[in-house]
Amino acid sequence: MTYELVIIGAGISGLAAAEIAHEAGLKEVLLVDYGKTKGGMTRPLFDSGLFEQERQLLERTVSLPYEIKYQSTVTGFFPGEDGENHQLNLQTSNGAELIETSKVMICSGSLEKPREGNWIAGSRPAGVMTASMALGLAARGYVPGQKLLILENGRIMAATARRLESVSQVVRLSGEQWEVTRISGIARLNQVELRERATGNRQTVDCDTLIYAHRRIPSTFFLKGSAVERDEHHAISVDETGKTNIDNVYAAGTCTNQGDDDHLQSIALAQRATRALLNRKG
Amino acid sequence: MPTKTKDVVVIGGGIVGTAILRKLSFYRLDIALIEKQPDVCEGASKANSGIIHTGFDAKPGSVEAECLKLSRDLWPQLIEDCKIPYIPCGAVMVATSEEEKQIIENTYIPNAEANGVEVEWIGKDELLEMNPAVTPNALGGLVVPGEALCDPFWATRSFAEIAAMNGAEVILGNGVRHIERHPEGLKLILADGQEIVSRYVVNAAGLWADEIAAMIGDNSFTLTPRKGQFILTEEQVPISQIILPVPTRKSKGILISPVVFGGFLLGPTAEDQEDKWDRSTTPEGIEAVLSGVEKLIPEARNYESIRQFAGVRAVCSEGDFIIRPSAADRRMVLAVGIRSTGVSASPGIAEMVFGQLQEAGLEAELRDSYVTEIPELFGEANEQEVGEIVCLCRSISRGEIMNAMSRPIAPFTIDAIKRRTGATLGECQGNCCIPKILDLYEEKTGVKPSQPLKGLLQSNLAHQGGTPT
Repeated sequence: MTYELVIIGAGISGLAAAEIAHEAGLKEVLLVDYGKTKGGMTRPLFDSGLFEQERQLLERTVSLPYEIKYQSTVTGFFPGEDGENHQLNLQTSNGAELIETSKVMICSGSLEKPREGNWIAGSRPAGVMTASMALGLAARGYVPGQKLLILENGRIMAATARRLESVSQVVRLSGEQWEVTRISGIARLNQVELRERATGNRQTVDCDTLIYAHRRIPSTFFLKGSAVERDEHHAISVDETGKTNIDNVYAAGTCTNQGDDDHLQSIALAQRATRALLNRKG
Repeated sequence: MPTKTKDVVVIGGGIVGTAILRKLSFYRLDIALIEKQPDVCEGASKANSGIIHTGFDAKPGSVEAECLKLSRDLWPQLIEDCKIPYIPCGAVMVATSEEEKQIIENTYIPNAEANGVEVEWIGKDELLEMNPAVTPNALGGLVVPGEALCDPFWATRSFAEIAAMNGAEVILGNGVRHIERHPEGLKLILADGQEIVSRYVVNAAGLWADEIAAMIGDNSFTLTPRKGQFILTEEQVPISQIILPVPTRKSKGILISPVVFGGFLLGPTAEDQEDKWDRSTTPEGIEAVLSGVEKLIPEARNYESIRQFAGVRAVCSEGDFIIRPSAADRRMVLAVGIRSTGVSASPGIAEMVFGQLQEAGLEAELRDSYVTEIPELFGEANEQEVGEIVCLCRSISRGEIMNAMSRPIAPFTIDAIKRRTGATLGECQGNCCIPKILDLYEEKTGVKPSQPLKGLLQSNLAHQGGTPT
């Protein structure tokens, strides 16, 4: 079977794209997602009050009549030439599948760039993690630590802090104001050293957990070696309408060079890109 | 707990200890390996450049040179038997000045000849054609075609696995607390109180080998920790060989090489320190790596990094490997001071240690049959087995992780699963998939650990507790 549209990712951008596709009357639409649920990596934060638009989007799209393949990852992308269908290799819990579609919306999102990608000195103990890892542990009944330092740089971190405050002691510092300069501890984290950006003042915080991420890793691993253009940070290069360099392939959200680390633009970008892909006026 | 008896116990589950264990496992001996951390390959063996050195630059006549020479002949079969990921890319020592070219001609070419290692000088054009990223200031380089890259995690583990398949006992997460003399051998008292009387003991305890030797009163050598900081990048660096600088008196210098898992490795520094546990990276160390590599590869400073790390190697007061029975008690054979060519020399060290054990009185008869090859445990027989992608960055499937948990040396930590599958090695460093790996661990073992470990003892990732509201 050939789909009219495959949406890669059922997170914030993917759901926004699916809603527009439905409004446009598309029938044969497939969503694929790495996770086990809709909503993407920030799904556990939708009830925090800081993701109200996203929570409403999820509610509106709960009953969309589209097929969703969960625990499925695109591992290969083969653009069709001269208007031919695009082909996608899909790895699912049942094995590999080959999918054909006339249009593609890439909404594959991003992962948080962890401590390691930000050149922070010190040791490499357990207890240093991103917000999504902390949330993933919490969802499984694990408490990330007794005393958490959260370096806040947006609503993902703020909402994560709110969520973890009920089980652990949480120290919140502004990531705009402070930068982490050193991590200490052999097996488990015991201290974080910080520097105030404006003054150069230093402080140390004794804690067993640091929740930290800065910048993002576009989840475009499956495009490595494909004809879809990406920038030097591996974000998909799109124009202001979300168009990639390949016909009938659009992209939106944090996997693109137009997206932002905190998903503030994702819904609007995905709506605009999907309308452009389907030739619909916004 | 009843006291166990063994013919030989190897202390230390690094590349040296496991290579010795593998060798011993071919003989009719009751043997065990003791490793204090929860997995093999948790010390110097895990944080190095992964190069299988030829020994072209080793001091001729040294124990190290002899072990490297023995190893050169043993590696081809080992790589096949153990299915070790291996890149025979060769290395080139780049001369960026007439002075360096002179050092190569006067020191390294004759030294390589003395060690029986093939080398060849190539001019600038050929050097840059093979390695376009190298500085145009280079005058040429000394190619060492026999230098190669391997996966040191795999090598260490597969040696232990072969031994385990031949009946060796591998005791993990349980170090030696002290050693007593016993009529039947040496009595090892482990951290959990377990006692083992072994006729012979091999001390392959890496950085801690001096402390183990001191337990039988051997203070004949000391080990000094020397830190090496590394930078790992996933940038596409246009080089086809390991790019070496002309060494300094203290170290082989800071190099850049491909990595079997993908990406490129820059480093290491060589910093003497007192603390054996200090594996921290520093701004100064990272700067030293960048400025070192920059001399060879001008673009290096602009690379993004997915990880930086440090390893600590053991620098021995004797300035060479020590492979001999201890003067304090000949029932302990030392395999210590393995400073920087441990991976490369490990097969030769194992041969030499075996010889020393025999000289010390160990009688060893080959088994009628024994395993020498790692079976295809990663066989992905059907698609169902492969399953969904768990590690997004590296495209590692559920099937690969489940298979890793079925191996003869089972993993108990996230890092142990990393070293068996490559999961969590990518750009997100496991922040995305570690919770999913915990699910698979629980599914496989039926146990939900109350405090899952990252790598070392007490490196708990989290603890079971209340659910956030």
